[in-house]
Parts: sequence; structure tokens; C-alpha cells
Amino acid sequence: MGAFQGGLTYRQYQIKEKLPTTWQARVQQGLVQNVAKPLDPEGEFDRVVGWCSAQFILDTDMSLDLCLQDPYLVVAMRVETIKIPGGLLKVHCESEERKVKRELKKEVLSRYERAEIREQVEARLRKKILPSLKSYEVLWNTETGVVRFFTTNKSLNEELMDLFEDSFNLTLIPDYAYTIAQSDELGLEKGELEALESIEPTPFVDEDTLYESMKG
Amino acid sequence: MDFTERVTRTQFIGPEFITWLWYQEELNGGTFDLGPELGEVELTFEDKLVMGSTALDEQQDSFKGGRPTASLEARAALKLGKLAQSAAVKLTQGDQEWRFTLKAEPLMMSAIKLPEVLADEPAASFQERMFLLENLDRLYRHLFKAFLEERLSKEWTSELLPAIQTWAAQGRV
Repeated sequence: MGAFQGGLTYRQYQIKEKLPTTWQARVQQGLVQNVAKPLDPEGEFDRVVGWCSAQFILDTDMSLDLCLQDPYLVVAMRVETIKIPGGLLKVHCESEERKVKRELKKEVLSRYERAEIREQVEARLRKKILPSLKSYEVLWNTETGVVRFFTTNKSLNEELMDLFEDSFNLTLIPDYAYTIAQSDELGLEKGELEALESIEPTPFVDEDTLYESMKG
Repeated sequence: MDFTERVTRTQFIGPEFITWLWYQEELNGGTFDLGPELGEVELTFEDKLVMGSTALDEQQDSFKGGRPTASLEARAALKLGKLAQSAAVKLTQGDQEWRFTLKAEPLMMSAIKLPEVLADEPAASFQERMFLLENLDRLYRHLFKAFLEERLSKEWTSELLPAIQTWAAQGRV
């Protein structure tokens, strides 16, 4: 389900700010500064997020001329994560704890000792496990300020909003009934926009029908 | 009231919009005149419908296959005060057809199937897909605008809502 083929599922956003006429330089800089970088197995992060090519996940050449398909900026948000399977971590920790108990001639280890062992085992296993890589297409219509992100996962969408703001200093407003109603494109009149502020739910069935239906 | 509160407080507009589209389909065959620029479009409900109500309880009714909006079960859910939470629909403009699922909260289209793309070359194919997608987006927003113009009007309470309530109660317009 993506921009290039098949069905399309995405969350849509409108950029809050007006894009300056000289946006190209700012966008180019933002893409390069926030390009996806490989996760360091010896580092402290379990997850890194950045921009990559929408065509190939390992391609991080973010030259604007490669990313622009006028009027669209076509990129992807790459997410690299490293996760040690819980079961694997548990058995390696237990093995290490047994070894330490023998060495220290102790029957029980303290919480501190066990935590230290877990940390060491995690660091060792991290180096042996390959990180997982996923990318999600982002289409930015630079004429209308509409951005489409091709996943509806809530936390990924929150990460996109952060990455977008960090990269371009622009705010993404997600589409909701309220934000669509307020958009310039819809062009509701002043009185309608005022009514929107005090709108309340209305029942689509009258009380008698509801009562009869509930009586069953 | 801050932005998040406003968004949350107005989430009910989505289910009301989809249910209004259902009513319009039965009122006038789902035909909408979207003005001189966009012309006439036709919206029909297809084989999937989910109904629910946070006001009554959290139970949802899912209907699959055939035409759920014509089923007695969906009618019964409507009479219980439930509204459409999502629906598979087809939108037709001239000889072009889009199929998608309209979801209520948050209000959005998903699983969009575009009309057939004719271009073979990748760049041209992408541009054609985007043209078709932007066109769908424009039609969808104008349908939502048509709903809001009724929903936010003074006539909503006095004329339009009673007509919808009669349809919901009697199963016909």
C-alpha cells in the first residue's frame, strides 16, 4: 500500500506555516541534517529515525533533484531498531548469573549484581543481532502544503511530526474533522465556522424510536 | 479550549458525516452536484459497514458482504442510535471510479483504489496516480463541505434532522 503502486492508505497533514519562496535550500539542508544514519550496535539508542530515499531504503542521497517529482517531494522516513528477543536475553542472563554465583560462591545475587549482569549481556548481544529496517513513504505537495504519510500507525505518525519539525522547522497539522472543516480549501463562511465552535452531537433517531428499539 | 480538546470534542462529526452520506444515497441515489468546477458525482455504499455509538455502549456491529446499508440488521443498529464508523464506498465522476474505506475517527480515507492508470513509464505513472489521488481528495472534501453546510445551518434542527430521524425510524425517505 504505497505511493507508487497498489492501494493507498495514509495519514494526511497540512503544513501550518506558509512555505517561503526560497524553500528549496531550507528543505535540502533539513533532509541532509536529518538523514537516516545506521544504528550503532555499541551506542545507547535502540531506535534511530531519519530520511532516506522512497525508492530504496539504503539510499541516503537526499539531493533535492533526486527527491523532487514536481510538485512533490518524495522521500521516506526510515526507522532502524534493534531489539533483543526477550527469551534470548533471559537465558543468556541466567547463564551469566550461574557463572557469577559459582565464581563468587554465592547462592543469591543482589538486585544490583543482577542488573549489572543484564546490562553487560544486553551490550554483548546487541553486537550480534542485526537491526530491523523499515521505511514509510512521505509525499509533500510543495504547492498546496499537503503531506501524506503512508502508514496510519499512531506512534510512527508522531515520530514523523517530530522529524518534520526538527528538519524543516515546519508544523504538521493532522487531518481531523475539525481541522478539515477549518481549512481554507473548504472555504466555510464565517457564520459556519462560528457554529463549528459550539457544535454538539445530535441523535439521528428520535426518542420514541430509540425507546421502542431498546424495548426490542 | 485548546486545539486537542477541540479536535476530540468534534470527533463525532465523522460518524455523522458517513451516516449522512448513507441518508443521501437513499434520498437522491447518492448523486451530488459539487458545482461547476467539479460537476456531478455519485457515491454508493459497498460491502463493508461498521456501526457503533460511544454514547450507548462501546459495542460495534460489523457487516460484510452484499449491501449492508440495505440490511435489516444495519437498520436496527441505526434505530438503536448507532452511527456509521466506517464504510466501504465507491465514488464515481464521469467514467472514473474510486473505491475506498471511509473512516470516521479520525475522519480519513483508507485502502484507496484509484481508477486505472494508463501510463507505463514510472515517473508518468506516479504523476497520473497523484493526479487521480488529488482529484479524489478534492471530491471528498467537497462532499464533507456539503455535509457541513447542512449540519451548521439554522435549518439543521428545524428541517434536516427531523427528515433524517424519519428515515432512520421508517427505513425510507
